[in-house]
Amino acid sequence: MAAGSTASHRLEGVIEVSSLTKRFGSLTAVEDLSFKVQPGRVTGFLGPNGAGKTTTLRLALALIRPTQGSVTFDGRRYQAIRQPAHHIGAALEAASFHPGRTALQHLKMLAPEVGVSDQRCLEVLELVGLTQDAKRRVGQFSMGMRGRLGVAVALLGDPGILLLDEPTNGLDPEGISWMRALLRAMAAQGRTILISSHLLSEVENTVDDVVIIAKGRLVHHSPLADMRAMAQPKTVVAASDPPALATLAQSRGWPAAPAPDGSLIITGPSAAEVGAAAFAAGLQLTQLASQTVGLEQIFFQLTQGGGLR
Amino acid sequence: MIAALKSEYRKLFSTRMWWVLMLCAAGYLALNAALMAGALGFTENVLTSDPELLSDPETMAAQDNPFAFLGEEGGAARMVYSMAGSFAYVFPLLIGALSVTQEYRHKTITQTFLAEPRRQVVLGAKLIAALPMGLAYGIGCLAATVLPAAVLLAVTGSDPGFGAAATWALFGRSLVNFAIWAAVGVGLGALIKNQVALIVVALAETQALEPMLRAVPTLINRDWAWTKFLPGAAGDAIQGGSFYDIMSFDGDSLPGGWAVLVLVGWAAALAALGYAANLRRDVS
Ligand SMILES: Nc1ncnc2c1ncn2[C@@H]1O[C@H](COP(=O)(O)OP(=O)(O)OP(=O)(O)O)[C@@H](O)[C@H]1O
Ligand SMILES: [Mg+2]
Repeated sequence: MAAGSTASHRLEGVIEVSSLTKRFGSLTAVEDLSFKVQPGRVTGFLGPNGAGKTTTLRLALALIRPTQGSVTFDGRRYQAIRQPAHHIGAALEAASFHPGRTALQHLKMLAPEVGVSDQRCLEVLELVGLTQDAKRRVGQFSMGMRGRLGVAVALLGDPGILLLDEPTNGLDPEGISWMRALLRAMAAQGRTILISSHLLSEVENTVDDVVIIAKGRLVHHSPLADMRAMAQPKTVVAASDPPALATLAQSRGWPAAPAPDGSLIITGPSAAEVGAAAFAAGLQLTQLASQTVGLEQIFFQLTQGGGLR
Repeated sequence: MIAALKSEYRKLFSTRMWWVLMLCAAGYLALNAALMAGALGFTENVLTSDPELLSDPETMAAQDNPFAFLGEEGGAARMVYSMAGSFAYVFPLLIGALSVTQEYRHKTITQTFLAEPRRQVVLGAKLIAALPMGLAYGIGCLAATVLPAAVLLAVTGSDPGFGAAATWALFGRSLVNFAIWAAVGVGLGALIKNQVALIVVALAETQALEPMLRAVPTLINRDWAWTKFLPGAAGDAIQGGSFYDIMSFDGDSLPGGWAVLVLVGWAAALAALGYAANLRRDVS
């Protein structure tokens, strides 16, 4: 990462998506989308299949033109930045290569346009663990190796901003943890990292912030910690004396909702706290179970109905 | 732009396509040139052995005598050498066109546009990079034509023509023709970015459509001058004389300098159309 890193941080690294809309004929893939991505953090760009993640990234990279709105990097659109690959590195889903070129040839063919030396090509291959395969034709590469080569392309210009579309696709567990370490290290250097995924669980150990979209619209944007807080513990509890249990919950100020089977669903305290309170009140419990909603479930609720159209 | 040019050359030389196409061109030309050199060498021998035929000024000086060239020094040789440009311009056309269509086919165009989002610069680099590529193909194609032909001409007792300045002028003009054809190819590739469609169109145009259209003035109406503006006709005019002249196919042709402009115009027009229709559009 070291080489040229002084040159790469000329941009501060704020990505701003404003009122972005993209229509493909009658289909609206992205609709009035606005959010900001901050440097020094890894931001997860999440949404179900077809939510518009890849479309948003392609819009940001000026590969397709917005119907409305814009994406800027420190106030400048991608196409207005000279030698943009020095500032913004990107790997889109299923990066494509000519099967007859070797990994090294592929990087070397891009190097002059990106504005880096041939030496840098070897460095990024080392960085993504493809040194051994540098002289093999990409046609023989596995999916994971192609993914790594795609990341190598993104890193070529030693960019301060990194946009990766589904970077863990096709990676083995070792590869996933390598990717996580790489992204964390780059964010720690003050770079801006945006990674897309359709699974929160895949990135929850990597990201600091989450931007969630569904049907092309923003449904949630916050630090991951805030989203975790939304995942409040829930406890299902039943007692031989139901009215006494209800009174207990009320006296503690716990929101409780009766379930059809006569039990109570208490939000807030953990199952252990509820059990201890019942014991102290001398209540005999017939049921006590934790029903905490996981992050993934919250994610699902947020994006509900936002699946494939 | 220099960087973009360098990238273009690395793209070209990192796949097998350039030398596969070069081999095809060389094989095709060597075979045809050898056959033609043998035949023309023989014809010339017959004609020159009959002084009556060649000394008859009425026959040889006549403007429309397609065989007048046989009376010139190295005339038969030059006719064979001109086959390189007249027969093989489809190869620089293809190498130029494939430099665009390959990128769409293998979707490397995405990474090209990420590195250089000014798409007119990408297209411009491809057009300029095509010129030396076409020149290199020209050198290869000329060598593949001239070497076997010269040997056969010498064997049949004809003059291989290397002593005549006109022969070297033909080589030079032929190379210019090759160079510009590669740029025409880039324009065509930009317009027809689907590789299969492109190859079909390139072959149909150069091998069938154009020869047919160019026969129109001779066969139907001598006053139809527009066929001399066709790219193939302009290319032959750049070379100054072509194999098709023998068959009296052509009407009049453009002067060399104008022919260069016309062919460059074709390259520019196709590139502009291709830019408007494809390159500036969304990349999917
Ligand atoms: N070039 C295109 N033409 C027409 N429709 C398109 C095009 N590109 C994307 N779409 C549509 O836009 C919507 C959003 O697609 P997009 O690829 O952005 O989703 P995504 O969030 O990346 O999904 P995934 O998780 O499956 O990668 C989809 O309905 C898709 O069919
Ligand atoms: Mg996607």
